[in-house]
Amino acid sequence: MTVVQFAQFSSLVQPTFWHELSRVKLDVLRLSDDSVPLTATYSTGRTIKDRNTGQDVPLGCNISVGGESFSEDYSPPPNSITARGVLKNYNTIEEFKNADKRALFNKLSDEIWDSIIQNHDVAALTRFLLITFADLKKYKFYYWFAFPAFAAQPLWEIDDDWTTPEAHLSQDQLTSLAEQLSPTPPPFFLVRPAQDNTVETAPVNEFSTFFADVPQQSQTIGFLDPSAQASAPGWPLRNLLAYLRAVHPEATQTVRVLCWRGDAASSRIGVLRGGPVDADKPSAVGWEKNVQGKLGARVADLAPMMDPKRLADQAVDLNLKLMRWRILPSLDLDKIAQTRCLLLGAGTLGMLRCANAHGTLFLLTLGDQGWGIRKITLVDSGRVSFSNPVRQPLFEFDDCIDGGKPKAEAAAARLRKIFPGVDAEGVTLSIPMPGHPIPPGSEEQTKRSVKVLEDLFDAHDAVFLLMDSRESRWLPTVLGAAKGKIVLNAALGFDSYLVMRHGARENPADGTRRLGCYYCNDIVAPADSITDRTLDQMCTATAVELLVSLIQHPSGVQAPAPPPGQDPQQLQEVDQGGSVLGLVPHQLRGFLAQFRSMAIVGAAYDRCTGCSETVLKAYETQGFAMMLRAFNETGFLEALTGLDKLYAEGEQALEAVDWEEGADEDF
Amino acid sequence: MSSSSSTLTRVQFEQACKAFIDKHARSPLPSMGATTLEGWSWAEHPTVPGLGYLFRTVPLHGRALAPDKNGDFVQENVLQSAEFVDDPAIADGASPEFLTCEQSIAFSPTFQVPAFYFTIHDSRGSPVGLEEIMNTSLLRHHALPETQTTSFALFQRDALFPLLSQGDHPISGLPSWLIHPCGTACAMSELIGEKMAGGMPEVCSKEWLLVWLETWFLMLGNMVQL
Repeated sequence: MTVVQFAQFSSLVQPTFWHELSRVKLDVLRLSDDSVPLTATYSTGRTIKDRNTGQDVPLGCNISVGGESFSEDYSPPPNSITARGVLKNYNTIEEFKNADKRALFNKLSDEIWDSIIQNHDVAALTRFLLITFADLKKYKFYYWFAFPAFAAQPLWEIDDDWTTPEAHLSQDQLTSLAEQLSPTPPPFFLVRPAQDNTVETAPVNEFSTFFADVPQQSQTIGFLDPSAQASAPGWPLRNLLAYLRAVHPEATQTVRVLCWRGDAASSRIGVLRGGPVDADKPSAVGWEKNVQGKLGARVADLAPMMDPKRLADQAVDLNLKLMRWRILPSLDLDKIAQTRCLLLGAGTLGMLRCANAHGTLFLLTLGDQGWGIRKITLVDSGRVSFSNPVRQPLFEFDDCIDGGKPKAEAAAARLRKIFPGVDAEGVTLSIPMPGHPIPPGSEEQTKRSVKVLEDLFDAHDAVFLLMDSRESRWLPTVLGAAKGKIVLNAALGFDSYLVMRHGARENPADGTRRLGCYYCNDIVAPADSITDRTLDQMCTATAVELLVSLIQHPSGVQAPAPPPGQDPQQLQEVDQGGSVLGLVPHQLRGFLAQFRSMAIVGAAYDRCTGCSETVLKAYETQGFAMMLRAFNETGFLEALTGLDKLYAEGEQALEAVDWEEGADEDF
Repeated sequence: MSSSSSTLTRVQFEQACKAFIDKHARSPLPSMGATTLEGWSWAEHPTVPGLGYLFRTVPLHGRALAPDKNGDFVQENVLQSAEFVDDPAIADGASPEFLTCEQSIAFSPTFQVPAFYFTIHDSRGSPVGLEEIMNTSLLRHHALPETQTTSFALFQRDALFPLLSQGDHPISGLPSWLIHPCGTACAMSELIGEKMAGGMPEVCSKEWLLVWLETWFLMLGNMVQL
């Protein structure tokens, strides 16, 4: 003889319940703490196949509530039983914690007892209590269920174990039983044998008459069992047994119980023995434990479904993950997202649209609709003018009025509007340039601007040079090289464009020469890496794609450019020097009139005015003073790097050529 | 009357669904074993007629729930009696944590084909995130590079991974995940074409619609564990 153990009800809440509770609280209850009637449902116990072991694992003894639980004329789905309950919603977490839960619970268990003793009614045996607190700002719901059940003293015991019904009923009887219990069994019912090897069922309140001439061992009490555990019947049985002991004490010392679980094969029968009865109301148990197994409330977090910011986050995440799963499982998205990007020049940001085969906007490619970069800072000195919005989609007509909003701030604000999760900032700043002398009164201002720019460089990982003039790129080139940042340069001609990455400061480990910057190319002749071959091998990478390729490359900024003359298809393999995203070229020059682009490698020039060691060291030791000279003095940079000597050498070489005077003139 | 065999009208969709339910879903979901084509019921929009869809609820394996933060306060006054704390009459069997997947098949008026919508939530009603969805058995993964998976003849050119999207459920309006129906008509025209060659009931008859929908389920079954 072992003690009968019951599977306690386990609550299952659908999201629609919380949606409806929010609506009821806002529209109906407001601050009232009136009780609200609810209807829950439970159904026959189910199992689920364990993926690892292949075994059938029983699901919990579930009872569900959903949005429809609040409606008065609730019709349950097929094969489900309803249970009436009561909801009390509290307006603060304090009230929720301090509510007199014992009193609420006892009130409900009293009601159940009354329905048993006074009404002999089984309809009200399964009841529940639900207390809630809804934090509508954070979309969090605190809740606690109670399912009152009378605890028998002494405990019920079972003779042997629970068995399948075949042990007690014949096959024909079982078939007949299944027929009578379809389509939806009642929650509680009686079974007795009938002629022709069948059975008959009846409601429990007909107990006395139904079992009048039936021997004890042929009487069966049945209930729709929400538990699927082999040796534990579901919670509703407890109150049914309490009912039987109270209303038919003499006939129910021993009870044969049928736990009906949808079909004969899954159901169970057991013979239970109870103790003597006393007339007082038994004590009741039934508060649900939380997931930690303690007596405390549960918390439902519906932010992912209701908080618009979370929904936006999810949409972006989905885009990125899909890209990754479908195309490139080895893509390291985190590395990209963590790259802080500084954009110098908020002008024709759409200018690279022409270079991007996908047609996505440059900035949005960077931002969260594309690669998920979270920190973007824009720098520009201008204001939005009337010609801008048609070409620069981040600006609107309203931005042009009253002299125009500052471009950098306007672009950043629009970015934040498109995706609130992006940390976008705009800085209005004028970048000083060589060849544009600083008026004496503005030196302090310029010094401050340079400092701001230096700080910005320090705070970011990748810098895009998107200005509209050649000389404005000089200062950022020097800063980027000195501070070891990734610098990407994009420039637009009338019908041509250039996209390139600046090389790193140190020579690569393998002894090859480091790649050059924007200014190196002016002196060093580019080596053509793709011969004039097939037009359809157009490279469609933009500066952003170049950045992303670079980040994914194991060597990062030191990534070598593809050697000239090799088949680019081969070079796309990671082990041939590419990243998971393929080639990481140095420069791409495009010629729109010819619908052609070339990948070019330019080695660094040791007399470059932008990135040579001479210049960088001068900046590092002299700081702003050196810069001021670069801005103000013509020829300063050439003298510093020794370019002036190069010109002189060149002139000399030219003059040294002995042009042979034609002695014989044969005309 | 739909002019092509790759799409349906809304009326045909409703007819097909009801025939499908009659044939397959006579019994409720069996208590043991994997779920297949069974357990679907028909639901309608609460007020607007003619907007119906198939739905069913399916349990899925899930991970253990995160603890209930801030809800964990032990309450002395709920201990009804000393007995409750170690109530021997309560079975221990900790039920495995499972997730509930609510599935709908609704008609997509844009693409004129059925579309599969689903939401997954835990026992507290909290919807689960993308990572979690990937960890369940619901979506068949073809996430490995193309060379490592068997490609189904129909989908060679398209992505092998299901076109997972987010959208609002067309009838209930709640945020849902869905398998985007843009590729369905194309796939269906091939499948139905093959079937018609092998002999099918008269086009657009009730039986034909049922076969159409069953074929659609077959196609869905390649992407979703039904």
